[in-house]
Order: sequence, then structure tokens, then C-alpha cells
Amino acid sequence: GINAEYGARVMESLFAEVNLALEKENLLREDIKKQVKELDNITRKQYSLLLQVHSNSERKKIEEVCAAVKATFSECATLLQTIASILPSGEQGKYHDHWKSTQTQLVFHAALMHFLQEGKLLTLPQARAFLFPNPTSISVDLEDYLMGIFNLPSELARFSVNSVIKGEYQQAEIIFQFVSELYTGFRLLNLKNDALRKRFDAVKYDVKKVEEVVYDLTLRGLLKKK
Amino acid sequence: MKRKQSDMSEAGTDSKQKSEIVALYSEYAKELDEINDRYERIIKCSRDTTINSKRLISLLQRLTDDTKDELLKKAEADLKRIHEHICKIASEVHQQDYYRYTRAFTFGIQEYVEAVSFYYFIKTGELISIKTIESMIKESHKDKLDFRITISDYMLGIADLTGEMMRLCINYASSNNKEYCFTICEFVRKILLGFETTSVYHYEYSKKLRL
Repeated sequence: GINAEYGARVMESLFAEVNLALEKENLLREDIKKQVKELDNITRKQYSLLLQVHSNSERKKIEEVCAAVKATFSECATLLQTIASILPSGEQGKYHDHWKSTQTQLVFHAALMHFLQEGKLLTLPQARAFLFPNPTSISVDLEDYLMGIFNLPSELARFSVNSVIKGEYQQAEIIFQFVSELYTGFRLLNLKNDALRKRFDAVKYDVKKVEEVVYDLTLRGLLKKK
Repeated sequence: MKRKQSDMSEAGTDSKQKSEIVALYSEYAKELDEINDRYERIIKCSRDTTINSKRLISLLQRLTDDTKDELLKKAEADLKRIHEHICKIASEVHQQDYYRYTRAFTFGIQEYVEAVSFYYFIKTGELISIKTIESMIKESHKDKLDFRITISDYMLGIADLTGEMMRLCINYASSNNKEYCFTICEFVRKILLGFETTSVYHYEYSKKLRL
């Protein structure tokens, strides 16, 4: 009857709307993926730059590397801003997974740079300012920041070992202090059984490594007495 | 390092640095606790939503021509209770990142969509729209907060609805009102048709369709 026809039309338009929305969403995801791909290229470039400090950690080289990495961060900020601009308002979180791991990497790189230059921990507001110098609709959320920082100890453990190889023993001690303090901080977090927790569980091995380096140096009397 | 090597061995600098990092992480821990606690509260509401929605579906399966009005009244009372749980979720995600918590409530909402669309079909013979569901929730919220129903949750809920519809159809096959069976079948057929056009885009739905 007429009701059935009406019902059919209502349903048709309902599914047509759904279809349209899904199409739009797919196109958007493709766009985001494109931007993230470029972002990942930069992230890889950053990491190779940062790895250079393992073989040459003279102050001059560190400044050089950090300057080069800082320059790439402005490119990152532009790409992140582009992503922010194409996201429908109120739905930023829906697409967050696309750039989540890239963002985590960027935080890690920024924190590594910050430690190499200032010897301090990059804070969450600082991380936000680094990746998003201009306010946008997206930002670094707490979990991405924490995960990024969780990556720091393993890189610093490597750096510690390489410092000793080059005879820069005090550097190993400085890293030991920093990583121990960091670990104390980490342990304050109440983590669920998720990705963060898994990453955190691995950190204790990096702490151990850094401790062992200093232990070795201490045994051999290679560290300056306080 | 910028700092002179001798500086680092000063106990003062060390403990200052230590308390800085510890202070920072105490803050972060609090923030993270808030997020995780909220997540847990939402999971509880979602579970309650699921349980009550399943009960409502069982109730509606007992539909017969004679008991229809009585049944719908009971259903509306059940829906009121379900809406209370959903409104709790709505309050929790209000001014938070909705999508951060979707995994906590998606199953509850899907179950709810299945139940409310089942009720709506019995009452009106039509397929409930997302907008209608959203306004029902908003109406029942004491502060009239909006709560978004995602396309994904809606579609998955409707996909499950078709299963319940077939069960209802079979129940009616042995009743005096065999025409209703055809009405139900026609309804399900149209839904599946609608799904066919969208399953191209969404793998999840096509999985459900094959079931």
C-alpha cells in the first residue's frame, strides 16, 4: 500500500545518506594517509640525522644535528596543520589512529633533541608547542606523549654505550642520572594492560643497561669522584 | 651537553631535576587516572546497556497480535531504563573526546540500536533512523545533552536486527497472522538491499551480512 511505498522510500534515503557519509569518510581517510606518508618520510629522515650522534657526540656535531632536525620540524608542523584543516570539526579523534604512531615518533625525536641540547625532559606543553607551533584543532594527547617518552631510554642506553666507547665517561653518568629519574617518574603512572604498559615493561631493561655501563665505569675507577 | 660536566655532579642540580621530573609525572599520572577511570565508568554503563537491551529484545520476541499494546508499554519502560545508562555515557563523554572512548561503549550502543530498532519496527513498521535514535536519547537526558550514534554502530546494530526479525518471522509463521511474516520479510529484504550498496565500502558490514 501507500505506507509500504513511503516506508521503502524512507529506507532508501536513509541508506543513501549512509552511503554518502561512508564515501566521504573513505576519501578523507585517503587524504589523511597521503599527508601521513609524507610525515613519515620526514620522521625517517629525522631519525637518521639523530642517529649520527652515536658516532660523533662532540658538542659541535650535536648542535649541527639538532639544528637540522629542528628545521624538519617546521615541515612537520605544516603537514600536521594540513591534516587538522581537512578534519571535520568534532571528529578529530575519529581519525587520530592514522597519525598516532607518527606523532609518537615525533615526540620521541623532539625529546631526544631536547635532552641532547638542554639535558632536560621535554614536557607535554613543550612537546605540543614543538609539533603545533600554531594552535590547531588537533594536538599531542597525553598517551602519545607518554609513549614517545617511553622510547627515550632505549636510545639513550645506546648513546651511553657509544659514549663510553669514545671515552666520554661523564656522558654515561649524565645519562644514568637522567634515565633513572625518568624511570622513577614512569613508575608513578597507573597503567592498564595496554600498549603503553607493554612499552613501559621493556623500559626496565634499558635502565638496567644504563646502570651496568656506569657500574662498569665505577669499577674501573673511570668516573670522576664527587 | 650544554652543562659543564662538573655541574652535573652537584647534588643540588640532581635533586632539583629529580623533583621536576617526578612532579611532572605526578601530574601526568593524575591526568591518565582520570582518563582511565572515566573509561572504566563508561564500560560499566555499556555493560548495563547491553544487558538491558538483550532483555528488551527477548521481551519483544514474545510479540503476538493480542499482546502488542501491552508489550509495547513494557518495552517503553525498559527503554527508559536503557536510556538512563546511555545518558550516563553521554554525560561522561560530554566535552571529552568522544572517539577516545568509543571502544568502551560501542558494543553496548550496537546492542541498544538492535533493541530500539526492533521496538520501533513493531510500533511503526519502519526502520528507525540515526537522527530519531539521537533525539530519543537527547530527550531522555536530564540536561538534554547530545549523544552521537556513529554510522558504524548503527549499521552493525541494524545488521543484528535482521537476525531477530527472522526469528520473529518464524514465530509468526505458526500464528494466525501469516501476513505479518511477509511484512517482516519485506522489511528485512529492504534492509539487506540497503546493506548491499554499502557493504562495498565497509568490510565489517559485509562480514555481518554473510551471517
